[in-house]
Amino acid sequence: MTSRRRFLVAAGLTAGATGLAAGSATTTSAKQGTGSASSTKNPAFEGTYQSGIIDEPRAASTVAALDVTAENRYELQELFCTVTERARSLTSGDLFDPTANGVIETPTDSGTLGSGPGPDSLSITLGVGASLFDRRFGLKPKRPHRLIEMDTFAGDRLEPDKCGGDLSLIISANGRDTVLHALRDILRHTRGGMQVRWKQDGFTSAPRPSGTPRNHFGFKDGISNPTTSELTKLVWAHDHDQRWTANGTYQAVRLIRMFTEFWDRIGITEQNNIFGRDRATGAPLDGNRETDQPSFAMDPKGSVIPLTSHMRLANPRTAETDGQRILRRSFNYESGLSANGDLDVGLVFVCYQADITKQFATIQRRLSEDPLNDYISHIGGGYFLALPGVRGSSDYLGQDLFV
Amino acid sequence: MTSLGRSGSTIRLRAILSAIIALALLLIAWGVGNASGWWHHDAPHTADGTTNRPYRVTVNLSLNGCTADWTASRAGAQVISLNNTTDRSMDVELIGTGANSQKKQPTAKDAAAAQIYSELERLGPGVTREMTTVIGPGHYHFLCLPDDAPAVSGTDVTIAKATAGQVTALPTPLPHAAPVTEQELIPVAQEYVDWVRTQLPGIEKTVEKMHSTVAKGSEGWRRSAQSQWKTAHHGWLTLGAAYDAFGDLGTDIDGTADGLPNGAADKDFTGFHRIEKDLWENRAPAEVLPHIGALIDSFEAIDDKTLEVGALDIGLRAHEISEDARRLTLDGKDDFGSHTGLDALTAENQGTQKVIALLSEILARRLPRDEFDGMKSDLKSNTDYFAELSQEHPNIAPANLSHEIAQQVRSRLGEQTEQLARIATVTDIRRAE
Repeated sequence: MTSRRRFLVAAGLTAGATGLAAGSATTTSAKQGTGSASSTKNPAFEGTYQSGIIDEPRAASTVAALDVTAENRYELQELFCTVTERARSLTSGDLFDPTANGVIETPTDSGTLGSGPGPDSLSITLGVGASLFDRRFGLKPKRPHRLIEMDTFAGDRLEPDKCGGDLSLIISANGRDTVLHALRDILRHTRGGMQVRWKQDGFTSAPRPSGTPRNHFGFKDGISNPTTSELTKLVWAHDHDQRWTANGTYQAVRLIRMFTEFWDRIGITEQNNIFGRDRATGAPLDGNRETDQPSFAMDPKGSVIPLTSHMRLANPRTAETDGQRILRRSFNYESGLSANGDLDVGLVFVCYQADITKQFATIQRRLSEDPLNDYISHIGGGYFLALPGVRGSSDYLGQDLFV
Repeated sequence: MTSLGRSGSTIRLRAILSAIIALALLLIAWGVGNASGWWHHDAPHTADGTTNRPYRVTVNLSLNGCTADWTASRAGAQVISLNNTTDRSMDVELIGTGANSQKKQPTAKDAAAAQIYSELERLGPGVTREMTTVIGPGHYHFLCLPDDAPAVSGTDVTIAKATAGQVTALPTPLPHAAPVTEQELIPVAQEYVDWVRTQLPGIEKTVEKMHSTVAKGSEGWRRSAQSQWKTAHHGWLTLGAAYDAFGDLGTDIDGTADGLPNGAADKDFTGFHRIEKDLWENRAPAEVLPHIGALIDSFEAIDDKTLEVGALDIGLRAHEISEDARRLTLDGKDDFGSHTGLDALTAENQGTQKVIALLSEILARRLPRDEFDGMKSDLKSNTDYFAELSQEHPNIAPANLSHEIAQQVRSRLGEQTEQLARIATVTDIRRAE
């Protein structure tokens, strides 16, 4: 029982309290090492929204889905406090470990980042899945209607051990070591409260040669996203469903295997027509630059951009579909081999929206006719609600769930 | 005016503007001075036709003469920016007539021997895209294929042999072939459909036999039904039912449990694989029979519309059967208990051989002879290899083969699929001049 409850000690939470006793110690040093506004500065941990949503994925990312093993509501509360405290500490960029040469405790820090290289654009984003709102924690009345179990779409080849989860954790940073360090740290402090259900590591390519990073098919992926001023309308959850969801956002994660061997065996014209963009430049087939807006209205027959192209099906850019647009935060993955000896590579598709049913799921149904489907396979994922941000040193992720 | 609604005056203005810009660039280039005197190119003093320093040129496309301003070029690597100044979308092809190797002077122009080197499809109005290609000595022109308008040929350009010093550094001209037209492919597709039609009754008959075997339920019925299932399924796979051939009915007949909410337990999971699961999971006859009945219904529902094969699809199928074999069979994803994956690979390869045989006249005129012969003989030797393996291991899932054999199977099928991919690109339908 001692090891199982280890995370309680780390949280420093006293019975009945909803605040964090240990939190303040780390926040005072939060600014250390972030003096210059270099590109490695970690996004602010506290704020109206969680970090890692507006922030684009960095070079290395990991998504992990977790099953909560905490046994009651109080333990769950403690789990959220601990994750908050660890995320706060990790994103502070301060790796000072008082236990480094201790004799009673093993070192708290894994040491994989040395004694502290400072910030590395680290963001940690926590989400909750529909399964958390079952009987275990008395959260049923708190479940937002919009938080649903992931749909199965036509053509899906979902592997049950890569689907769902009570929680999601998306960690992103410049260095792979920074991401893994953060994950190890969080898991170590929460062993008694949650276990990883599935996880996928991935990366975001550098711009080649410029602009939006490319996916494994050689195409720039995620060119068109809502603008900052559109996020309130399209992305942030509001409080009309459940009060506590305000400033959260619904997160759809899909693990999409890409059959690159097959893809590499089709001609460039077909590749361009499938996406509706020019592979070399990323420009829509009716434009010259990746940022050019396609004029579907001027091309009703699809003689320039095929009616069945991925970009046109995904976002037809009509008045009716305008409210379906999503904030995409996907990254590439590569992990070993698939059963037939092919490379197991693909996309960790991540998107944020105010309503999954009206946005991602509607788009995904429309993509059932997407010619791209022959070259990809959806194998896992889950729907989550990325929690509202932490609004001060006494707040913790998910606090309003327990009010 | 077209449905695209761009006004002619905008296009003219655009053309004038581009002309002014082009002239300005040209004067700058001229001012900077260039050793070769090759003033058409944007970076004349560095371009030499090698892959590191390809010749770069911008060519304007119009309905009047396609590429009237493409007047000269040299052998080697080229990056040609094609600028569609018209008000409609078009495909653009680079056509060679009477081409030769890098080392010889061009022979006389031979329009009948037109070869397509490179293409850009769906070049929208006002759009500029780059065409990358490698050409040798010969005669070349662009062919503009505008939407809803007749094809227009551009100016003929003669490419001379490069100087002796240069020629060895130049890349080999791009493989090229005569464009394949829809008219050429239609009879092939028809022949394929006719062949499929002759095969279907035999398969259906075996399925009916399986039905009565299960219905009678005499001793050893399961074993007999399993054997009939294998025969019928093998027959079906030789039809090359890859990638949505036969439409939804194809999925009813031979689909896996993909996309079904309850997977293999879903009530909508039907066809050969449902019956396979029933038979190998020792389900009772009463449970199996309705599934076989449904399969017979699906076979009876096959009509001319189901069998239709598009002219474009016949070339695609040449490699898609192998792609399917790799994705589903090699992965074990279409194995619901029979462990007949090796036999499935054999049948699928036989299906591919049939498609290649039907296309052979078209392909023989477009692929180098040794390459095409090699492709066919590899295909045959792989089919034989899979057949032999399946005799030796009649009931083993590909995933359970010994490591050595599994790697051999993957290697052969992988190499074969790489070779076959070329057929799909060669037989892509292209509009004739």
